[in-house]
Amino acid sequence: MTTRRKYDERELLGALDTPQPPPKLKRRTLAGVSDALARKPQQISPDPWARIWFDWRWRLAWASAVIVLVVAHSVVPALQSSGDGAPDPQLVASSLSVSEVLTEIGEYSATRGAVMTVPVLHGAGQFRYLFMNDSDLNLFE
Amino acid sequence: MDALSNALTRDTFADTDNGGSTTSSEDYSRAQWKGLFRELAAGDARAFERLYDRIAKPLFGFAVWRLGSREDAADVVHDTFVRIAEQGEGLLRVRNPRSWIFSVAGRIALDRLRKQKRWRVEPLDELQLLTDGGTELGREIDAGKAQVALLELPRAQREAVFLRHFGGFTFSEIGSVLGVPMFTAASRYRLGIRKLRRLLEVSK
Repeated sequence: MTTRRKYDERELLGALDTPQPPPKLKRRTLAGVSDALARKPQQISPDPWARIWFDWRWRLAWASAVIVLVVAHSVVPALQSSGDGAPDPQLVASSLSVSEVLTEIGEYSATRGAVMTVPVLHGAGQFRYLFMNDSDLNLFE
Repeated sequence: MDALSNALTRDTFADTDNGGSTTSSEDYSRAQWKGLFRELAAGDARAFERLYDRIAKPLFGFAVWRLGSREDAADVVHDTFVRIAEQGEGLLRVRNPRSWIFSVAGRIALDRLRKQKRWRVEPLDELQLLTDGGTELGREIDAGKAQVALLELPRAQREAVFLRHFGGFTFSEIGSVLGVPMFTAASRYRLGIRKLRRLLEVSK
């Protein structure tokens, strides 16, 4: 016979307890605390969020940085789009140079294709095979 | 629905009832905590010892539940106390000392998790999430059975269950410890308890 027992919330974990910390942990922890207390304040480097949270100057600096970022994020694109619509000559120049580079790459690959079709010297055939077939099986033919 | 849901709803909105079991750290009033923190801020070593006696056990349990390793959990307790000692007079500005300590421990544990990149679980017979208590209540559920069920829960739900039951935190405190809204904390707890109950339903 199968019975399903429904547990109430307190009954679920009520009789259970959490594990005890290791006995030696107390001494180790208090030794760490003594070391921290003995250190000079300038040697202590609190994490940046704690510093921001506790020190109003850091908080102010952080808030100002966020405000500047938000304002810049909305103002800078608006300023850029408010121009007369003419393209920036510097941008045009840089885009031209990019297209020139692309053309050069195209020419280079065409040249490389031509080089690969040139008959190779005697003795270099194995390497040619290796290069074109991507396999070393032909090395010992 | 049931008594649990009613209790949850009441607690979620009123946030006053502590429900679960009691621990030594929760029967300390907010004013007493503030007093202890004043002594800690002054660098009183004996105050740190008192703090350890009061909070080390739930803090260690919380870290074990979060990290799945007693060794790492011990390191978390140690680092948390060192972090507290380093705060100095900053401790005077802490509003809710107990949940602040747990949130510091939670962040330290999270850093460790990120470094390890995975939840480290010791073998089940070695890892102790729970031990058998002394009361007769709920005697049918032993620690081993509950532990197996707890390991089935997602970490977020497990932590909410721990903080509620063994830390005695309110849902808004759980939210501030875990860095989530109060309703999310309540929802994680509710889902965790529901799943635990399902897992622990016995078949004879």
